[in-house]
Amino acid sequence: MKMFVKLAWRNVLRNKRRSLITFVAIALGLGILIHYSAFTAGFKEQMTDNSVRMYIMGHVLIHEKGFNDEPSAEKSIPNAEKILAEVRKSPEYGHVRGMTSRVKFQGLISSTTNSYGVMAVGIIPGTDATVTSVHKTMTRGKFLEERQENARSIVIGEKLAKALKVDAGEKVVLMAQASDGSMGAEAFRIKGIFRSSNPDLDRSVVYIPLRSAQNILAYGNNVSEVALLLDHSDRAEAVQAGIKKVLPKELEVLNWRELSPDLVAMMDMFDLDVIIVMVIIYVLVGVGILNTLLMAIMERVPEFGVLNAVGMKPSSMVQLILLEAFFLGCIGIFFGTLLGLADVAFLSRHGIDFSSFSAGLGRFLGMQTTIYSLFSWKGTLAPMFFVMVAVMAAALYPARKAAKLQPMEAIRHL
Amino acid sequence: MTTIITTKDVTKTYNGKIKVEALAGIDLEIRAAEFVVIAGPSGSGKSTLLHLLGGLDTPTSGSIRVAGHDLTALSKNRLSDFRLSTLGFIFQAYNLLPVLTLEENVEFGLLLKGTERGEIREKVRKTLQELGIEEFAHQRPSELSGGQQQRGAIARAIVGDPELILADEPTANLDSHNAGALIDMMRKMNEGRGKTFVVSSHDPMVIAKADRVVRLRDGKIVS
Repeated sequence: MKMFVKLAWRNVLRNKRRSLITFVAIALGLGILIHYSAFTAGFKEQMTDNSVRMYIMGHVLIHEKGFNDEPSAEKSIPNAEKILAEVRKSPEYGHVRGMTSRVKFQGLISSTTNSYGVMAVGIIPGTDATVTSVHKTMTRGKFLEERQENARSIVIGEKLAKALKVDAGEKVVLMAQASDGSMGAEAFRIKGIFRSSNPDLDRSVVYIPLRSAQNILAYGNNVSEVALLLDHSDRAEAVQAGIKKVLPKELEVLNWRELSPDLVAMMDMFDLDVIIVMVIIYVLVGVGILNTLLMAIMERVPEFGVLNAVGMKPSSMVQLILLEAFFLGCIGIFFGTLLGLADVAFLSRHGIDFSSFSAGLGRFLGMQTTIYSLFSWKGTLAPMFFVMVAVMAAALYPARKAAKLQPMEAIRHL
Repeated sequence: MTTIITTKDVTKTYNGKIKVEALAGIDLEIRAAEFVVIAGPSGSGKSTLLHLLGGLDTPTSGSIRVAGHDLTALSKNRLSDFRLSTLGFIFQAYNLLPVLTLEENVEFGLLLKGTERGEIREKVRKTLQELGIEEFAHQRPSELSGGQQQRGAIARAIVGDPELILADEPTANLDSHNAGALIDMMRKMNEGRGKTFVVSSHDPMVIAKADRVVRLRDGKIVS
């Protein structure tokens, strides 16, 4: 075995240019695979994160039962603080990055010239900022603040402002049916205007202070929902299950997948798309490695004939060639992993700026224009494993071919 | 003296673009400890016959029996075992493994056999010494002259103490001085160790040293 290892290793070192080409082919192939895995994972996570923060407004939402299917002012949670306290006591609280309570209702917003139907969200600005990111998208004025003088402030989207022909500082009136059946209405001054990069959101959602929303709906201290933001979207089901156990049965606890089936369908389509592209990249990388190894091994067939002539069994020759391929693979994988991880480290910090496509990305669930790679063990180890399998498979074919030849056929082989 | 090689009606045809009949009905018997030279002009089938006797190629028809083994009936693995245990082959182009030193090339067959490390060291040292190339033990083939490489190839062929040594035009790439020394060395081993040598050559110096000369022409034995 020692001689096999020595022979295989020296053969790797023997033709440095040929080995270098093989290492580079393997390393580049692996680097591309790691890059693509991390980049698509980052893209997907950002897409989920944007959707969760901007539209669903939380990974896990707690409502009165039935609110999600039929939202109405009559369905509310009387004691949000008690729910928040229960969540804090649950074992899953370690995964919770932000919590808030809010009021949501359908209303009519009017300026002096126009009226439009909107979804109004009554928020506690300080805690809502730990769950959502609307406050980061302000283009004019400011976002809501927790001060008494801001009680009659409203933040609206740029499209809505244009439709209502209003600007920051001007007045609008918000009307809605209250929980007791009466009509509630309040006048607000526009504190700020946001542009989330999703036109639908900019046209149809407004933010007001929680207390004002409770007043319009005659809610008292009730809220429509409690929202949780988690450290990772994949933990939503586990946290949901844990929280369900400690909350009263009349409350519904839904995760972001249940709250946005459209998003999940889109994710599934995206996953399928990624798989197709991945398969194409894997095949291209595999063929590249096969081609390089095939050339490296086939040009040495005469030497395998000599080995066979001096008494080495065909099966041992296959082992020797596979051992050489393993060494080549290990070195290529080492440098490929370094290359891939360097790429992931750089792109997870600096990202790739797609600002020239920002309009398209914005419509695609409000993505930010810079996409950051996301490291994962799976996204690193799976390509490494694949490349090693590809290297061994690529070596097996010529190895078996060489082993099948008569020694003199191999020695005469060109 | 016992017969070590028997061939019966052996033919070999290469089916390329043009069909070439390299050997046509070879019947041959070689006794143990003989020094036989297979002579003939280029293309007469000398090398082909030698390759068939070494199990390095398969005949188109006929049977070949070497040291009690019917080569036409052996599997690839059994043929490898046969070559490892019974045969030493010396190629015209030396064919030493370029990544191994001379010593490693010589010991390779012994390692494949599973010989004990100390015994390998001793056998390799003695063989290299006998062939006068001990001082080149740690050099690679590319650092050796043609004569030194050919001695290395002989060392690799004889170190495992095989019953039969086949040499395919061993002096073809050597000058007359080296060729003479090499053939004397082979003859000495034949006489001293009692090994059977079958050498293909059209070199008169080699032919002159033979116990028996088998002459081939157009794939047939003519004398």
